[in-house]
Parts: sequence; structure tokens; C-alpha cells
Amino acid sequence: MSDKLKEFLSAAMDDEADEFELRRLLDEVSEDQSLHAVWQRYHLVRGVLQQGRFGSRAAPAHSIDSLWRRIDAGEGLDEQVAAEVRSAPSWVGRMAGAAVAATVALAIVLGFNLSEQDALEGGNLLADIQPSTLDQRTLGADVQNAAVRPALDEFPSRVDMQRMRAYMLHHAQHTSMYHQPGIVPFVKVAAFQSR
Amino acid sequence: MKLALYRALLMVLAIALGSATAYAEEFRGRTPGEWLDGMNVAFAELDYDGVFSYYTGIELSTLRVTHVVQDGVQRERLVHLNGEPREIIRHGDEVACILQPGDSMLELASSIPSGPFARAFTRSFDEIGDVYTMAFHGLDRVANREAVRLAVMPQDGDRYGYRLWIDTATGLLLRSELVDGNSARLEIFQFATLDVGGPIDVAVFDLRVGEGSVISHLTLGPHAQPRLEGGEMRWEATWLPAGFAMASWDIRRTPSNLKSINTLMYSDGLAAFSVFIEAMPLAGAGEMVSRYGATVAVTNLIMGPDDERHLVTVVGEVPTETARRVALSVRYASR
Repeated sequence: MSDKLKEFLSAAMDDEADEFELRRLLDEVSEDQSLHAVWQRYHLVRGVLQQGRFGSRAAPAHSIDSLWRRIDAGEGLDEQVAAEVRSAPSWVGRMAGAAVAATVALAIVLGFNLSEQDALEGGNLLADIQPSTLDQRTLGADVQNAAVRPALDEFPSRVDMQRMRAYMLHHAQHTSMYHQPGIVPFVKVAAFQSR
Repeated sequence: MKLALYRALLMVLAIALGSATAYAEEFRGRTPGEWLDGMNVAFAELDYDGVFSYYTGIELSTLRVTHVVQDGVQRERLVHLNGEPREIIRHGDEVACILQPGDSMLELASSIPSGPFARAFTRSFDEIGDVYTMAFHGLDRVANREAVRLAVMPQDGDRYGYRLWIDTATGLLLRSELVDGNSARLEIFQFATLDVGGPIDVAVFDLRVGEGSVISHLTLGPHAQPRLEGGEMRWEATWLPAGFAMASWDIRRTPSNLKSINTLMYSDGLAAFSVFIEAMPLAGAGEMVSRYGATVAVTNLIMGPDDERHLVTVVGEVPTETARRVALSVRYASR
């Protein structure tokens, strides 16, 4: 197994692989027994590491083949699978960018699929929102309070995703409307291709 | 052999340096800032018709844009040439989207409040020199037109840079790239064809809704919902990257419920990010990082007034680390 692939694998586990890398990784892993073993080992290690904090999540039983097939087929992933693959740092749905003359403050339109299922059906991206790795040391004491912190293991809820998209939209709108086009002379009128 | 190679390299270097010097200050009598300002004016004032592609780092879209100024009012039409039929027609501040039923843009159009901010914040491009370095990089050709290349590079790692190709004849932008600190291109915009000043049939701006299509209207401009009575922004980011300043703020109620959302917008003149703060009595998945192309969103839960949990969300075209630091620095100023 190449070191490069190991790096990818490691990056995927650390939420640092992009979607393209992840897809390639899934391809490679499915074809390579030793990689497959490494993948499972990593998951096992992560499972063990997380067990203390988040309860039990064993290494994934899902075969990579089926995961890959389902992503490609655009099938909705069940929550557990989705949680497993949420390492892909990308947005759900497929956002089509458009551009408009900036001085022309045009509305920005981020279209959103409001259901998680639909979003995953975009077939393009694996997961929308991932738990962050905010540096705990820099967080205020309040935030470190365990009661406040959601379990990182929890897959972002539909409400979370809707909120995130709404904020993306608002930001895009702010930028186009009033950011006197800035240098991005072309503002995104981004619209999710809903299918 | 080696010597010849060195000589060739030296010559290339000399030529490169020569051209760099020639373009260092001005190109055809205009500074980089003047070219940028000219670009914005050109987009607003000229009549043009072109086809461009826009790559978000994830997806490539191709659109046709037609723009005229008629009786002092801008009219514009954008048509998606790929995928779902989708068309946007703008007349001044009025925007109409012609879509297929079920298009997700529809939900959006009905759910977003109109323009939240007045166009108050403008900064001349000559004033961004503190945080960006601008330089000409010779001539190129895009959409079969002569373009001057202009690089606008950040002086630190807290923002992205831009490479621009500006039409020397009209000042319109022909190509742009948004680049990160490793010179990776995050977004690319480029005209494939562009016709400027030619006759344009204004009938193309008429609303023609084909069978099975639906239309949705939006209003741009400063018709924002009024700020909440007695609203006072007491949230602030206690850390900001150099050159960023608060451009505007807003407290509003969401259309869907009665919660108020505090919005702060910061800009360095080119890049911008928004900070949203909302009360979050029920903890969801609080801390997340998402990225779509050049846009990143970072959330963080903090304690606000009355020991109530608040969710801070920073969204912008800035590096993740920048957004993260801002998100972590947001505080409520009790007075």
C-alpha cells in the first residue's frame, strides 16, 4: 500500500480528505485487501478512542463496496452510514454557481434541499456538516461545560443543516447586496441543483 | 549545454523583471485600483451579452448573461445553460426567477427576507493596500479579447487572493480566480464569449414563463425589514483579522419563528464574512465546520446573557482558521 494512500486514509479519518480524495480512497480500499484492513483498523481505533466519551460505536460493519455503490446510486444513506462518512468536508447537495455582475447587486440564491435525504441524493457529496475540531483550550469555560456540548458523535440534525444553509444564503445575500461588489465582481447566484 | 540553459533562464528572468517593472505602477495610465474601480463601473454601465462558466471548486456551471442600461435602469438576464432550466431576470431592484416546479430555489425565494442591509459600505479599491498587494502581470487573451492580468494578493494568511483578467478595451472582467495561500484555485470564473456594445433586443428581458414553469419574485436593495425597536448590537467579535471592520449589523426576527437573530458583517474591502448569533435553548449539534468551495461556515456554542446558550455561526469566503478564530472570539458585551 502506498504511503500516499495511507495519508489519504488518515486524512479521511481526520475529516481532512476532500470528496474527491474520499471517492478515490473508497475505490482503492475496495480493491486492496491490505488497505481494507487498515481502514478497519483505523475505525476500530477511533471507535475505541471515542468509546470513553461518546458511548459505543464499533468499527463500521458496512462494506465499502456497498457504501460506494449507494453513494453513486444516489441512494440516501441511513443515519449510521452517513455518520460514518461524514468525514467528507463538503456541502450537501450540488450547488450550481452562477455569476452576476457585481456592481449589479443581484440576489443570491442558494437553493436548498431541505431534507437530509434529498441532500444526500445529490449523489455528489457525502455529508454536509461535520463536527468541528474547535480547539477546546481556547473555548470559554462555559462552553467546556459538558452539558452544553453536544455529543460530537451526533450527526447534525436536519434543523442544523437547514440553519447552516439559511446562513450561507444570508451571507451570500449580504455580500451581493451591499458589499459593493468588492472584487468578486461576480457574485454567486448559487443554486442547488435539486436533482 | 548547461551554460546555454542558464543563459536562457537569465533571459527569461530579465524579460520577466522588465515586464514587471513596466507594469509595476500603472498599466496604460491606470493604477490597479483604478482598473478595479473601472471594472465595477463597466459591469454596471455597459451593454453586454456573453456566455461564461463558473467553477465553484466542486461544480462547473455555464450561464449566459445579457445586460443593458435602459433609461438609467439596469436590466439583466441570466440563463443557466446546463441542468435544470433556470432563468433570472432583473429590472432595477426587482428580480424574477423562472424555474421548474419543485426547484429548491423556490423555497428560498419565498423564505428569504429582502435585502438586509443598505448598501452603505463601500471602500475604494485604493484603500485596500494595507492588506493586499496589487500588481500587473502582463497581457493575456480571454474570450478572444485582450486582457490585462492583475494579481491581488493578501499580505497575510487570513484571507484569499485574486487573479483577474480585465478586458483592456472595456474594463469588463473576463476571467477571475480566487486563490488560497498555496495558490490553489478555489473558484474560477471565465467568459467564453463576450459581445460588448452590440445591439441587444430588450425583448429578451420580458418575462416569458413557459409551460410548466413557475415564477418567483424577489426585491433587492435597502427594503430591509426594520431593525427591532430599540435594538442595540451588543455582540462583537473580539478578534478580527487585520483590515477587517464591521460593515453593518442587524437584529431581525426570522420569518419562520419569533426568535431574533443578530447579524454582524465584517469586510476588509474585498473579502467578507458574516457572523450570526441566535439563542439556542435546545442544544443541537453545536460545533461544526462546513466548507463549500471557497465558502466556509463555522459554528460555536457560547453562553450569552441570562446564561442562555447562543449559537455563533461565521460564514464567509475566508480560510477556515480565520473563521474559526472569529467564531471563538464572539462575546456579549453586558453593560
